[in-house]
Order: sequence, then C-alpha cells, then structure tokens
Amino acid sequence: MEKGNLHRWVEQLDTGMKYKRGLGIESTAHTFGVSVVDERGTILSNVKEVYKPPPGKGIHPREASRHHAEKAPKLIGDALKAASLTIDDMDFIAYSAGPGLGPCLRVGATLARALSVYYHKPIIPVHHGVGHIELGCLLTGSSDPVVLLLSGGHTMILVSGIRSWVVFGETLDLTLGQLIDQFGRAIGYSSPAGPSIEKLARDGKKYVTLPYVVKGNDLSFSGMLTSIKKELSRPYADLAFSLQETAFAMVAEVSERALALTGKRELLVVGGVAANARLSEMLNHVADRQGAAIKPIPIAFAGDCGAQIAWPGVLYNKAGISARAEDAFVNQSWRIDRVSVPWRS
Amino acid sequence: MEKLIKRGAEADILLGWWGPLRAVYKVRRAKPYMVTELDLKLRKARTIREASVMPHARKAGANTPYIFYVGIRTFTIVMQYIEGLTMKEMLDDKPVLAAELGRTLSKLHSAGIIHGDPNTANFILSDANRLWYTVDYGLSFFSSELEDIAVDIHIVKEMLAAQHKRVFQEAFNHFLTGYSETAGHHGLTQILKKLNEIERRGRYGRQLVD
Repeated sequence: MEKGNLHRWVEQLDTGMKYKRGLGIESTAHTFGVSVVDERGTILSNVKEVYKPPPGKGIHPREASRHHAEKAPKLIGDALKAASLTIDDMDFIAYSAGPGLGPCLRVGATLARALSVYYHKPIIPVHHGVGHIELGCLLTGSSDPVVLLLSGGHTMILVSGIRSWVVFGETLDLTLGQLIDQFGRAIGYSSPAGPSIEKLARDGKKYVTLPYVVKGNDLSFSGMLTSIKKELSRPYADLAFSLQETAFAMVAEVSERALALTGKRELLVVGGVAANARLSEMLNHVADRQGAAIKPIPIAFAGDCGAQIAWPGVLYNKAGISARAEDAFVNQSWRIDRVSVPWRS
Repeated sequence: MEKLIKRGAEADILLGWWGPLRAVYKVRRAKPYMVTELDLKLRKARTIREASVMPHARKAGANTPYIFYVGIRTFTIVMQYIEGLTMKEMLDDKPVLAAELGRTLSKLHSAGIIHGDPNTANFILSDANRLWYTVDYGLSFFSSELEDIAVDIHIVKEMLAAQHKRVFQEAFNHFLTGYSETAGHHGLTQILKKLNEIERRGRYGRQLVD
C-alpha cells in the first residue's frame, strides 16, 4: 500500500499533477462506497462497506441508510487517504442520484451536497446503471458493446443510442436480482442471496419445470417466482438449480438475440449478478455462437462500488456538465433511457 | 446441400431445395448451454407453434411463406423461400415502411394472433411479387387480450428505438398510422392506454421527478 502511494506520488510529480480527478459516492442500496478516479480512468482508491440484513430478511431501507450514515465519514476519509489526496485536490463530487432506495440515496446525496457547497466543488448526479456500464467499458476496454445490466434494480439489455443508452430489452416485472433475492429469502437467506443460491445450485440434480417467459426481447420473472414458491417442499438445491437454469437461459437467449440483431461484436456483462459463474458460462457459449467477444469485468468491480460513480463523474466533468447544489436531488425511479450521456453517439 | 444463410438466436436458417422449389430449412439446434429438459421443451413447443400459427396468420391477411414440411423430432420447418430485403435493412432510409408493419400487425391482432417478435428483421419484401411477408412465428400465440396486444406494440416501440434510433420517432408514428388504418382510432387509443400502463408497471416506470 505504502509503495503504491509512493508510485502514485512520483507519477503525479512527473506529470505536474495535471490530471483531473474527483470523488464518487455510491449509496443506492446495501453498499456504501467511495472512490477517487482520475481523468485517465485510473482508480486511485475504491473503498466500501456493505450492509448485511439479518437471515431471511431483505434490505430494510431505514436500517441500510443508518448503516451508511454511520460508515460514511470514515469511508470518505479512507478513500482520500488511500489515494494520497485531500478533498481540496478533488475537481468534482459525484454521487449516485438513483435509482435505488430513497433513504440510502439521500445519505450519499446529502454528503455530496455538503462537500460541494463547503469546499466549492461542482456536484454531479450520476445514474447508478450508467455507472455500472461506463465503469465496465473502462475496465474491459469495450467501445460499442451490447450491454447486459444485471443488478438488484436492473435487468436490461442496452445498446448505445444518440447521447443516451437505449433499452434493447428488459424485464417487464421483477429483476433477475430480485427474483434470486426473493427466492433466497423464502428459504432463509438474507439479501443479496446470489452467492448462496449459486453455491446451493451446484448440488442440484433434478430439473423442476418453471415458466420460461420471453416476449420479443423482453423477459418476465414474476410467474417463475410464484411458481417456485409453490414447490418449496422439494429439495432447495434442485429449486436453486432450476431457477438459475431457467432464468439464466432466458437472459442468455435475449442476449443472443441482441447480438444477432445488432451485429455488435462485444458483450459486456455488468452488475452484481455478473459475478455468477454459471451465468458467465452460458454467456460465453452465446458470445461464441454469435462470433462476439465476452468482456468479463473484474469481480471486485462487478458489484456496487464508488468507482462506478466517480468514473462517469469524470466523463460529465470533461463534458462540462454539473448540477447546482439546490438541484442535486435523488430520483428513486430514474429510468436509464432518460439519462443524458453526451459522450455516446 | 443446404447452405447456412443466417444464424439467429434460436434457429439456423439454411437455404436448400424442396423438390424443384427453393426452400428455407429452419432448424432449431440444441443449445449446449441449456439444461436438456428445458432445451427440448422449448424447441419442440416453438416448432409446433410456428408451424401451426403461420397458416392462421395468412388467413388473417398477413403473407407468410408456405410450409412444406414440419419435423417435430428434428425441430425443423421447411418452408417457401422468400427472396428479398428485410425491413430492417431499408427502414433507416425509408421510415414510412413502418406503416406496413403497423398494418400487418393490426391484421394479426384483429384475428387474435400475437406475433410475439414483431421485429423489422422478420418482415421481408419479396423480390418476386413485391409483397411483404412476415416470418418467425416461434414466439407467437393466440390471444385477444388487450394486455398481450399492447405488449406486442411495446416490443415494436422498444425495437424501433434500439435498432432504428435515428428514425425512431418518425418510424413509430408511421407504425401507429398504419396500425390505426385497420384497428381504427378507438382501438388504437385503448391499446396505447394499456401500453402506457405496461410501461409504468416495469422497473422505474413511474417518474417521480421528471
């Protein structure tokens, strides 16, 4: 760590400290993360704390926001320290403005406004999903990918539009993350239940038929959740296995459709569910069949983190975009296709 | 003998012969990444569905290729080859073509058929007779529910926005005009109301701050 800091310090001297950089604060759901990223896309620091609900429970927004408020001051300090910088060195403060849980979002937004006003830094609201995508593009070097965004709040396939991300297909009801979490909760795991379900599914042998619903490029998972909740007398491992196989096959199919129809050559998978090994295996097959390259994102950055906010902050900063502190709201249900993304054409 | 001309997401399209006639072989091949039970179930259901809905679609006024042979065990449908460009290749230069998509879809819906995948790639303008043909009924089904009809329209909207982003608004307006020619204004208004409801039901569909 010390050595890394020294390197960075020397590098900064070397370049006359001309690179702009900023602070990103992520607080949409269970994760409170802070990161410093510079304009070359170097992640100078990335620290986080994750709120863990009691077994069998989901994220309680009030409890999660209390967790965030308690951890926040230390994490902001840690992020700056790890980057060997101070708040004065920041060129902007970016925060996750949505979508997510209101109380959690407000912790990050309040902090960002306070820092922005007190230290006279531009404030930049960032869409959580755009953060996942842009960080994914940065880390994998993708330029024009078909994006599969699979987080707690999103199950979407996107392609770049005119100064925006355009939804190619999405879930019409539950997200994949919600499906897994809600099933997990029904059998006693706390959210996020992805890793536990993945482990459990490895012991599953018998495939239980579940509804497979693909409508054009859209998906629907609510029927599957209802259906699996009626089968709870069966071994949980078989259910976890069947749920993964069915739900992931649906996602794989629409991903394949997107690649076939757009002719794009890169498939970028981002969001917490991207960490699932079985899903990656399926998507590798899909990419192979369509002659596309799958771009795996490092596991550490697949889930929620501050860097996904700081990096789009850099991009907005470059484009000269920031908000006034009094307009720096949160929006719990901010649609990704309504977000202006000026660097995409 | 058959030549692979397209690898779609769920089937390979091969060009060959059926006796003296040019024919398309649509083969739903095993997907190695899927668990076998699911894979077999889907391929069988979709093959049967496609073959059974296509004649009804033709009766409803949408041109579809003639089916020569259905192999349920081989998941193969052999059908008439329609030579020509797809709407996907032409729409960006000629957004008004979307009206034809609207007309066709409206005819299907009036007959209680939901296409399930109304993509511009599934509309072919035949070189031989200059008629539009609709293909790929693998996701289709019979329904007259407003909900199902509106989801079909939602798919069109989403598809135009993603695949034809530069002409999206214009194309979608032409689509609606074409659709209302058959469905009438009243029918269209009802559908659009439902469409709005569906879009709001989706993730982050309601806008708290706009």
